[in-house]
Amino acid sequence: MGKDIFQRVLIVTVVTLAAILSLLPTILRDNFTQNWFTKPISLGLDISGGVHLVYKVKAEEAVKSRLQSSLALIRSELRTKRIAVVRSAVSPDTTLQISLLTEASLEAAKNTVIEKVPDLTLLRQEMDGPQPRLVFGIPPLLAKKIEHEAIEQAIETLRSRVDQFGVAEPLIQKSGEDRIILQMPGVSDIAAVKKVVGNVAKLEFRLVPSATTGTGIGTVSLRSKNGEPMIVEDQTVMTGDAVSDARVDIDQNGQVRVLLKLSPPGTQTFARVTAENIGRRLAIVLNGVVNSAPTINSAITGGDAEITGFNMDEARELKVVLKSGALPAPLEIMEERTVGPTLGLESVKKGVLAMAIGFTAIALFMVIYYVKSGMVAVVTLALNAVLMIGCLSLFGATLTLPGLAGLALTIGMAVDSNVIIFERIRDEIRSGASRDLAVHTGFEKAFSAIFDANVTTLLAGSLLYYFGTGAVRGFAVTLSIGIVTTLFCAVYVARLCFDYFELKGEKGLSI
Amino acid sequence: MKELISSSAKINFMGKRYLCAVISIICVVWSIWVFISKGDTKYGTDFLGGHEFLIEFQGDFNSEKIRAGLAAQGLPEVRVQAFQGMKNEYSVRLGESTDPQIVRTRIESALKAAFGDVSKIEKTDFVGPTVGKELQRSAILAIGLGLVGIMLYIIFRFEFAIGLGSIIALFHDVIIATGVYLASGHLIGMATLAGALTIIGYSVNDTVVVFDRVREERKKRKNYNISDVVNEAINFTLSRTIITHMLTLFSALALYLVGAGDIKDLSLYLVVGIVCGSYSTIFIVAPVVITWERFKGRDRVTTIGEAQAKRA
Repeated sequence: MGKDIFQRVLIVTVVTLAAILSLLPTILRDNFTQNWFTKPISLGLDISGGVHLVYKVKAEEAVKSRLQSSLALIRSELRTKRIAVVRSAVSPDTTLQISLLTEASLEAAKNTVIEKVPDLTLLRQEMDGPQPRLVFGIPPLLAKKIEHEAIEQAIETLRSRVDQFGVAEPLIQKSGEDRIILQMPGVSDIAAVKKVVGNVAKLEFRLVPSATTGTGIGTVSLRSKNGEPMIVEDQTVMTGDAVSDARVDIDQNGQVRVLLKLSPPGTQTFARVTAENIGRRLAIVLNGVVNSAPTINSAITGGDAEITGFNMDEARELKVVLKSGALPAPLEIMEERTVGPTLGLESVKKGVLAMAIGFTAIALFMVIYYVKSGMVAVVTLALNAVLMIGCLSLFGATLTLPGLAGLALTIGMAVDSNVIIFERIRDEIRSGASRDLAVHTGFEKAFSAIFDANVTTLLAGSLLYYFGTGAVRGFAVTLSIGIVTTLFCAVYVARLCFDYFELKGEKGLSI
Repeated sequence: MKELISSSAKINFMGKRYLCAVISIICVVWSIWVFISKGDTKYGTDFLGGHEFLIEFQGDFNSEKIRAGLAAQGLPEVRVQAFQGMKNEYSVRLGESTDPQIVRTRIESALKAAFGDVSKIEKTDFVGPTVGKELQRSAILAIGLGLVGIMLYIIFRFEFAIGLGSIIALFHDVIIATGVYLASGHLIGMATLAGALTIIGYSVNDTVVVFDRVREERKKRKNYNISDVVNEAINFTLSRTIITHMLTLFSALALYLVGAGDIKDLSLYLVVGIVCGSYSTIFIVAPVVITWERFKGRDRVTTIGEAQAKRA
């Protein structure tokens, strides 16, 4: 018996110490070493303040832009093969439609498309008025793959953009099929965040048709910065992918500009295109708008390009987004939340006060009603609270306001286990059992009820964690952790206390 | 030994089961009526979508004054509510789905034009319309799975009748708690989901404790009357029931009285749910079990309670 108690005391001591040690960084905060096995408990946005954004990646746009680039390829190929096309476009239902002038060229056109872009499959052949029309699409499996890649790449792009923001501990997380959760604690200027994070930053270089090439076939009309339409070639010379670095500076005339450094393959392409097209204009297109269209005076071989016409803030944003690369698809805001820095603190104070009031009321009742056994209960409840917070720190969980409420509530529910046991012991004493036996059977018989009751609460807690969003998840976390610590404290530790006092030869604890 | 309830108490709970059934039905019908009649206005921003701003005002304000001020500035469609638990904080809600920045600027300038520089936006929430719908769906799914999960667990650990009784009781608790919650002007949000799931997990505790006792008593006896056994088990565990609900109520009430926002919502739901939960074990689960046992023909002995009633 004595040795057995010693072992149990050891277990409880080790567990308690582990909890306290894992809480050290939280208690000592900044003055503590970084190399500890736990970090300070991180506070939810509802406490620390900050920005919470949920984006939906419009992944179907990535499929459309794949079709768009295939279309440009197909057009020029059909042109070389002298197959007359009346209309060709990517339609909103994610199909590529080509209307031919004559039925005779149908087979040739079909073969050309499939040969040039093997990814496409012919969906149907129909009449577009008097003209025959070919409708192509991307097979569903491939489309899924493109969408999936777009989402993954969007997360990567977001990550590198957020990194350049220099925020401590941002959270970027995929959620569901096509959502990205972005949390930035301590940030209040959500407008700046959104401008950088949500900027598609699709950069293209396109030649402007000259008098000799004409403005008919093979061109598209875009808007320029001042809203006027501008005709450019539908083939892009180069995209933002070729940009390896970007920086902001001010030129001799005091104009803010973004200087681009091209990657080696980009430099080659740029050199070749500029050499071949001296005298023509090259349009720099950003997110579908022509930013500028300078005339090519000489071949540019050094791999430098520049974009002008911004103020300093815009230029800085552009630098960040160009360096991190374009988003493969536009983002749509699904949820947007900001919390000011002072609000949370006040709520925490109230939460802690509520906890203290609840705990004191419970402790008073337990001690008055069960006397010494009640004190055992109070000790185990206090230990329970320490263990719960220790576990939060150990698992790196985030403490939110509802999480705090969960802590307070768990204390109230944990005492249930003590009460079940104590009432059971009283029953046994009433029915004439000796003290030892009463304590023994009390714990024994109460266990199944305590266990069942806690399993059901754990089930509810897990569901809440799975289906809940935001701060409420913190409630599910503390509730679930609380169940495990409650079983340990109310059953294991409390039993140890009873056995210990019994062993000390006292008459046992008053109950 | 101090005792709240005398250990020799023999209250005939089962004798009152018809009266309680009537009370329960009235409460459930009333709650469903509250739920339906509130329409979409019962949902908070999480479930409905739209914008919500938590604004701190300096000086003497009330929600009607703020609403009128905003309406005069060309924002007639806003809903203004005092934020419970925080002084001078009001929540302003709008249904549209324009860019949050634009809405924010519009509200800020409208407030400034109406009242001067006395307000500060503390917290903003924008939830897209599709997200709201998704959350509604997952909330229903979570509660449904919770109910079914608990029922299956109870059937697995105990028996079918108790599982059946539990799920009826849990429906009863969640419906009434939601009804009271709504009637007192709170909106359904994530905190409500947290409350409902906690009640589902928690209030079945009573059922477990009472029927754990029933199971034990049945093993001891050969010839028993189910109604009497259940009644005894309830009486046996009555002290525990009252004490533990009282203690959990301490925690929940403290949170309700001191807390604000989500915490206040959550704890109100819990307070009502806890009260419902202790009632429903005694007056719903137990009668269902007794009726089921009798229906199955396992119990033909007249109960003590019924014998007393006949004599009287």
